[in-house]
Amino acid sequence: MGFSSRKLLYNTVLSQTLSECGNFLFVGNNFGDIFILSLERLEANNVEYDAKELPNKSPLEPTLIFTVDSKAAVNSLKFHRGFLIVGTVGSIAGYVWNEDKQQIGKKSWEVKIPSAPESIEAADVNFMWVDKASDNLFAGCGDHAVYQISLEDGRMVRTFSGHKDYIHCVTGLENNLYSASEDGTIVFWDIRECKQVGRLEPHTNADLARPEFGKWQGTVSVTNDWLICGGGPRASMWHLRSLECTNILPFPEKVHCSEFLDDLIVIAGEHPFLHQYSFNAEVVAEVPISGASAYSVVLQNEPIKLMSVGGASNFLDIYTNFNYRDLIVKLYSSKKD
Amino acid sequence: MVNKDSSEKDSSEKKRRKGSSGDSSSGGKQNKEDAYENVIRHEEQEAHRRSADKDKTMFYQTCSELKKIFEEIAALKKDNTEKSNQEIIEKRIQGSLIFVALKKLNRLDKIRLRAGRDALHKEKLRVDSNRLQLQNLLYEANHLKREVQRCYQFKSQDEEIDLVSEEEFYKNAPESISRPQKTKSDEHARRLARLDWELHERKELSALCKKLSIAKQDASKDIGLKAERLNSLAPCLEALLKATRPLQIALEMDIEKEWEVQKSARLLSRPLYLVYANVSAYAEACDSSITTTIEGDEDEAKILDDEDKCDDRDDDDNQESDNEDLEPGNRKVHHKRYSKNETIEIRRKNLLKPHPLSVSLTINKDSPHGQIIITLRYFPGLGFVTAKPTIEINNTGVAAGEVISTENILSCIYADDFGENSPNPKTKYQIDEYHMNEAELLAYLNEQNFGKPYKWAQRFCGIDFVPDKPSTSRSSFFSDTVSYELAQESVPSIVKHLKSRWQARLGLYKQIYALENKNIDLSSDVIDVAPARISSSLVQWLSTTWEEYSSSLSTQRFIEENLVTSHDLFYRAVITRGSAKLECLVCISSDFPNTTPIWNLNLCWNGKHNAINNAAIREMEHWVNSISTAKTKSCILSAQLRRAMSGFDIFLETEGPFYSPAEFTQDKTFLKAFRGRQRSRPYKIVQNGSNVIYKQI
Repeated sequence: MGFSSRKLLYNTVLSQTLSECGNFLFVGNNFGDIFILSLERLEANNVEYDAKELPNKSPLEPTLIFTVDSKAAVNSLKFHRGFLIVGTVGSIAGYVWNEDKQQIGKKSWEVKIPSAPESIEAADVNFMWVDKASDNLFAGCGDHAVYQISLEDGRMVRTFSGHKDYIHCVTGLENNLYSASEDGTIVFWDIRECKQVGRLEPHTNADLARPEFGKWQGTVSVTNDWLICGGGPRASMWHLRSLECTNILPFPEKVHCSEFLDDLIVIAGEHPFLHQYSFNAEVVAEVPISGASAYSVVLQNEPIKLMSVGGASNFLDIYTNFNYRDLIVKLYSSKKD
Repeated sequence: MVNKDSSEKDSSEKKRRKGSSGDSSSGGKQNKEDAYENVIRHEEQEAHRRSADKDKTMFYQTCSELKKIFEEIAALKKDNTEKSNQEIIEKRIQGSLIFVALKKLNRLDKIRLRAGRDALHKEKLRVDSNRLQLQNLLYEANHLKREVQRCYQFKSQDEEIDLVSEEEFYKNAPESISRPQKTKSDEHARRLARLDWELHERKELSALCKKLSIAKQDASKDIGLKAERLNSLAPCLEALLKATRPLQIALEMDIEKEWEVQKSARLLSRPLYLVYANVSAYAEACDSSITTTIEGDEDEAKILDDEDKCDDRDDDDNQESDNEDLEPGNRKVHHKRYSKNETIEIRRKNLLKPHPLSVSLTINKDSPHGQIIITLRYFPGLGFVTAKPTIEINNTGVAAGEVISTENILSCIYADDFGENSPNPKTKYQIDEYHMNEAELLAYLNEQNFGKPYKWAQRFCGIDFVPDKPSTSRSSFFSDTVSYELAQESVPSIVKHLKSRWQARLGLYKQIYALENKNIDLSSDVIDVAPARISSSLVQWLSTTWEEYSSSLSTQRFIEENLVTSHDLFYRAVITRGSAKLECLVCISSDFPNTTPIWNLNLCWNGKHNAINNAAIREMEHWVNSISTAKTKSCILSAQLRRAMSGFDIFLETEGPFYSPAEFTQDKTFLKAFRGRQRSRPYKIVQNGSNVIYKQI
């Protein structure tokens, strides 16, 4: 099978991020490409589209495809202060985003993830979170550690190590950092002191454990009071102060993504539907997704309200009202080359 | 009164006679008549001379005088005296005189009236005669006009004669004929001169014609003589040939056989002749493994050839009626003899009849692996060539046999060339007439073992169909669309394609034969260099159908992207390990090895998993499908099978430990069972020193 056909059939979206102005969506995949989508254009298309007409029209396409590295997957993406931060394998690089030309400029900086001497593989940069107030980037990597990188000088400031397997997800709130790992734990870190301040092991909770799915934790999201996590074990909601599991979210499959959306919780994973729950764990909505699995969910309310879900599919699902899928973007087009 | 009057008249006449003529010598009767005549003449003259107006006033005057006398007489009679009687007499005389004058006036008047009438009559006559004359003249004028018209319309015979142009005339004609000084100005003279010249020229030309025809007759006579002499030579030559035959046999020279072949080659239809000539030449020059032969009924071909020749001769006359029918010969004879339906049936048969001679190419002749014979037939009516493969091979497996089945071995030599449409755009209209459609036509061709009208076969034979090129008549059809250059150009590449296709199919056949018998070496591999320990086993390899393949949900992706079509070959492989079963639907494209076989994986273990509902299977399928054929033509299927089997093992070994009791335990060495947010599994085999380890793609 030709390379272009393989891309069509086996494209997997691993990461997404939105530009600061909220008008552009960047999508990274397993073939090392970044797709750039103009949300304004999608929005304009959406107005013209009628739900009935949709199947007849050709699927929407990205404005630009930018190849970062055809050998390494684009595992994580973040946008900060005019830079697109790309996490691939063993490296994090910053690219200038040219808003006027709608182009990704040259690579302006790169931070290598130090590889352990005994490892024969470079570490994946699985997830990134930016503390906007302090201009710090936190990268959860394949070598079991979370690295804090100062975006001012590119220095690796701190290393949060303690997990026994690779990091799936990193998020933070004020001075706290939360990381979800393949080893089945959610660890709470104090950023300034660089030490563990708490941990959750959902797989040890009999109500949450699903041994046939493994113990790994794929995602973690926090607000001031609440934390959601999930993975092999069931998706669950925890009270941050008491560290008690308050609700179990009935998502039937493995969990890869979680988000807070106003007063709702969004959960997606290896299931053909994305679920939305209220805070008392009732299913509010089930919306279909294109692929076998979702690996990335981004959402915003301003300036264009939308939620975008990518996963094991060449199609990116865009929900402009969060409740039903109204736009499908075909990332690689099937034109013969 | 009358007497009185007449006496008075007489007296006055006498008086006048005395007064005017005074001639009293003429006496007697004659004299009297003369006098009368004279009087009349005189009075006429007088009447002429005197003015009528004056006479009128005189008449009125006289009348009034007479009236006065009557009154006076009346007055006198009343007196009735002597004197008055006397006076009455007197007055009576006076009155009589006046009366005479009145009479005279009356006569004058009468004469004048008559004279007037006469004059009028005379004028009338004159007018009549003038009028008549005028009519005559008008008639004459009309007549003349018509004559003039007729003159104008007169067509001279010389107008129909084609003359040389004026410039040419002045250039070529001698001065004696052209006389430019005169003819330049006078058109008539010029015309005459030109006609003169024409006559002169034509006479000369007819003389030349006669001379030439005589020369021609002489020449033909000469030719006849020579031909006779040549004919008489033939038996001698034959005898000579017969005499040399022992020598030919002794020297192993097949000269005569070659002649035979060439003779039948000449009877081939033009497209097949081109292919025959080109391929034989190519085989002789470059590739001895290809042979060409001519098969079929030569006599029939000969008849057809002859008919074709005479048909061409009177083609011009019949062209209009013949346009819809392209089959040469036979036709006209049948036209009248059969009813309409029968005629249509016969014409249909003729349309669908191939040329009696066909050309067969044998590729890889006498090779131990088997040979393929391609029979090319030309349909003069339909104007295309069909190709029918025949395969001669020793051993056949059930699933493997399909690979070298005659069905599709020749399709897709060019992209999208499945031989399922007529390459000739005219065909549709031709068969429409007989209520056939294209599918029926192709089914018919298949039924009759004629093969399929592949596009490459047309190029091979130099037939070029340009859809917008009009080719109305048969003759132009031949000259325009069968191009020697095209045939010559395409023969080497097509022969190479056919050979490589045959080789590829043989290779594929071997691979599938081995797979079918589960006789595959899984340990060695060209792509994934390291030897792998595979725990699963292939239990089944069967061929399957398009219907079955396309009915599976997980194969829709390939069909939607046009990677798989109904023309491809389909297989079903089943791999098992313990309670788990991996079903692989394999599609081998008909243009293999240009396109890699496409595998579709369906896992049955704790539910059904495939690329649509399971990302891990999707990745495994990606891994199986990402081998390129470029370097591994000969073992692509086994390489892919190996990837599928090791991927299956890895999936079970990474997934297995989560279940209890654990059916599958880790048997292979891998760095990490999962990696990245998508938790990808270590499907890729790498050699690390002496160890084989598995890692993520």
